[in-house]
This record gives sequence, structure tokens and C-alpha cells, in this order.
Amino acid sequence: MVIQVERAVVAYDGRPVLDRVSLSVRAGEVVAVLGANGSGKSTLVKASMGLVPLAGGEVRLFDTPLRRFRGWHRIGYVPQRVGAGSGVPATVAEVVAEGRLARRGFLRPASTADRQAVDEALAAVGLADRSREPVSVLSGGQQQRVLIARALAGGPELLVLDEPTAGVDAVSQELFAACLRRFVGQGGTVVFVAHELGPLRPLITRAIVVNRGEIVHDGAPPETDNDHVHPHAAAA
Amino acid sequence: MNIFAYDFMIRALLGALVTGAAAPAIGVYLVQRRLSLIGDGLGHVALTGVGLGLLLHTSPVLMAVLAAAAGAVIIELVRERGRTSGDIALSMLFYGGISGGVVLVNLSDEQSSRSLVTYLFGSPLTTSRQDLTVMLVLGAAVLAVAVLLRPWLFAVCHDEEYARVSGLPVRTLNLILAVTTAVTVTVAMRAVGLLLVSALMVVPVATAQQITRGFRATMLAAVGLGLLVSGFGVWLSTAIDTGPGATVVLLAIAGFFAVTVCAAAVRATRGARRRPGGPPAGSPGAPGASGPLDLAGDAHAGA
Repeated sequence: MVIQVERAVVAYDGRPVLDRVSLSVRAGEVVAVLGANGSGKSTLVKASMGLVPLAGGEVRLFDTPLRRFRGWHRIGYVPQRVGAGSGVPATVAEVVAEGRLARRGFLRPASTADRQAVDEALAAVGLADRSREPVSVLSGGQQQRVLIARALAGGPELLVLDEPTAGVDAVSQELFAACLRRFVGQGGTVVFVAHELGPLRPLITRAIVVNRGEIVHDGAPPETDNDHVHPHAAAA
Repeated sequence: MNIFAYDFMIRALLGALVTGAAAPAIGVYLVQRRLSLIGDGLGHVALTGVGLGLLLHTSPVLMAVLAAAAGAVIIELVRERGRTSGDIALSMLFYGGISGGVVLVNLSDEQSSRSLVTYLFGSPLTTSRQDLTVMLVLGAAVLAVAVLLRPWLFAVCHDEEYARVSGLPVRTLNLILAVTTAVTVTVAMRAVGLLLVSALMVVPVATAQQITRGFRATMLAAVGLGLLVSGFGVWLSTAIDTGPGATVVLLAIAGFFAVTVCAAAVRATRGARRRPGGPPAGSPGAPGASGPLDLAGDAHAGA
């Protein structure tokens, strides 16, 4: 199992957000986690990455309990994109280079392999010619592709993406879908949170619908983009 | 007149240069994390250390490092929890720090308000040989952390959530940054004073980032600017007989406005040159060409 969540409970200030949720993801799967705003879908993914403390239950990554897990280089994470207004300018290459740190020894200078991986990841998302530009001048979709390149740069086996298509232009969505297709073709596993599936629909092997902190559907992807918003339709 | 013929002037200048390099080098991370004013708070806390040192007849500098470091660790733990009440806790720490410093200095043998002013606003001309050695050693340590740990500290300050999923020792890195900031405050105490330290951490960075495109470039440019204003500031303050710390900071702020105006002017001229006549600013068939990228677009269109 790549990801195994067992009876996970998450609460913010005593208010339950996830209520005894269980989920398993096998190698090679492409899983979409769907749900309305505030359903707990992002929290589920964050909890499985150890970013949100569990009030109960257990998470295992690559068959290792989260607490003892050290193989972070096997995971490429794409957080939900927040505004570009980072305090200090950073170039595209500088941001993507963060993706190599999980593999790079502490205090080691960047190797040729590190630089090559950054270039290749940027080429994969169609931004090879933008590496020296400040991230802030890129469009929202391009910035999202920078974050995906960062996740790919570490050569992961599992990609975890939180709302990767939110507010992203059609060109970037297509490029992103192509990127994922290549990644899956090479045996990668993907878990992503989304509002709508768009061009990703043909790639998905399984959809999970979260509503009010519980999984209400686990199986075939919904027929249309509107299905998952209504738990009754999804459960039917 | 050659004011640098005097040993004390050389020491003042060297001390100012160390501060001018170290403060922006660590300040760039604080600005990245939107904690620009943290240096100010740590300066307040360091004053209690100074007071303790004077009272106990031990090194005020050493005690200031310890007090500021303890304050930095507390601040980091408060920040990590992200509590809304954190604001109040920090206020207690900062104002308690400065009041404690004043009272402790009053209680000590050196109860004159003169020595208090020395620490609050700096007094580079009284830098002793021993002071300078301490400043050089601590300044070198700050620079080493800021430069050697750059990829890791950048990752943590830029996107802490991602850094966690990369398996980086996020908490350790945060504490290293906090303690290094505390050490920087103490290094700068002699040159610009505890109340003005934060200015040298923030203003050169704010100036540099208006013309730079990347993080490394910003750090280098900010250190260059820091060296420039502190060296020139110490010289100028002697020439016109003003407080060195305040002179350095005013110069840094003047530099900020000068660069802001120049950068805006350059952007305006570039924009004006592109709009009327000139080379085709994006052919009618290229609707996507907009913003800073159309420089490259122009080149292709012209070719």
C-alpha cells in the first residue's frame, strides 16, 4: 500500500473535520478526492501527509507508520497555491530546486544531477525557458506548473496534489494532464484533491467523495462534474 | 582630513561593516517570512541581557546574546503554535524586555543613562579591541549560517508545508534561524544600537528586492547595500558629527527611496518605449503576449 489511512479523526478546536475515515491507495492508482468546500477533502490529504495532527486513528505511508516514515523523497507534494506575494523574489529555478532537498544531503552543495533534475522537471511542465524569471511574473497556471515541477524534480513515486486545477487556465490544465499521464505511464501513483475533473477525467482510476468529514463514495469516477457536489447523487 | 588615521575609527568602521553584512544576510529570511519586525522585538529583549551583564559584572554582550536567544526561541514556539493570543505574549516579552533592561541598568554600578543610550542607539566609536573580536567572530558565524544553509532556510521560509513533506527538520531550521537572528541583534548592538538593528535587517533587503529577480541575488545585493550604507554612514556621521547608528539607518532609507524612484522610472520608460511606434509589441496574432514576458515575445516577432 502506498497510502493507508485507518479510522482517522481530525478536529479543529474540538470541531470534528474528519470522522473515522479510512482510505487505502495502491501503487499505480490515480485517485481523485472530490467534495464541496469544507467537506474535509483537503484535510484528508493533509492528514495523510502528516501536515495535520490526528486526534485518532493511524496513517501509514509505503507500509511504514507516519511517525517512523523517512522516505520523503518518494513523495512529491503540491500544496494548494496561495497568492504569489511571497516576501522576497525567487526565481522559477530556485523554487523548483526545493524539490531536490529531500534527496540532497544536509549541507551538501547542489550536484550536477540536482541541476539536471530541475531542468528536466521544468521542461516536463513546458517552462524550460523561464527558469531565471521571478515566479511572481508568471500567470496563475504557470505558477501552478512551477509547483508541479518542484514536486517532480525529486523523482517521486507518489504525487499528492491539493487542488492542482483550481484557477488554472486551459493550456496549463492540458499540460498538467499530459504531465500526469507520463508520470502514471512510468508507474507512478497519484492522489489529488479537486473541485472538477476537466481534462484529468480520462486518467482517473478511482474517485473518492468526501462529505461532512466522511467518505460517501469510493469507486468509479462520477459521470459529470456536478455529481460529486451532491452527496445523494453520488451515493445513489 | 583623514579620520581613519585613528585606531578607534578603524575599529568603528570594521564593526559597522560586519553589522552591515550580517544583518541583511539574515534579514532576507525574516522578510521572506514576513517577520520583518522580529529583530526589533529581540533588540528589546537583549536590553534585559545587557542590564543583567552590567548588574552582575559579567560581559553585557554575552548576556545580551543569551537573553535575545531565549527570547527568539520563545517567539518561535509561539509562532509555531499559531495562537491568536500570541500577539499579546510577544508584547509582554518585548516591553518586559526593554523595561527590565532599563531597571537593571539603573540598579547596576553604571547607572548613568549614558550607558543606556550607548546600547540603545549604538556607539561604534567606543568599540574596544575585545568588542571588535567578539563582533567579528559572531558576525562570521551569522554569515556562515545565512550562506551555507541558504537552500534549507529558503525552503522553510518560502513554503513551510512543502518543507515538512520534504522531510526537512523544519523545527530545527526555524530555531537555528531564530537564534541566529538573536546573535545578529547583539552583533549590531555596538554599531547601530538595539533600537535600530531591525532597520539594517530589513531596509537593505527591501531596497534590493525592487531590482532583483531571485532570492540569492536579493541576498547578495542586500549585503552589498548593507556594507555600503554602514561604511559610508560611519564616515559621514564623523564628518557632520551626528549619531552613527541613526546616520547609517537614514542613509539606508534614503537609498531605498532613491532605488524605488529609479526602478519606477526605468519601468515607465520601458513601458513608454514599447507602446507607441518602436518594434511591434506583440503582433496582432499573438494575444497571449502581455506582461514582462513580451520582451522575449518581441524578439521572436522581430526575428
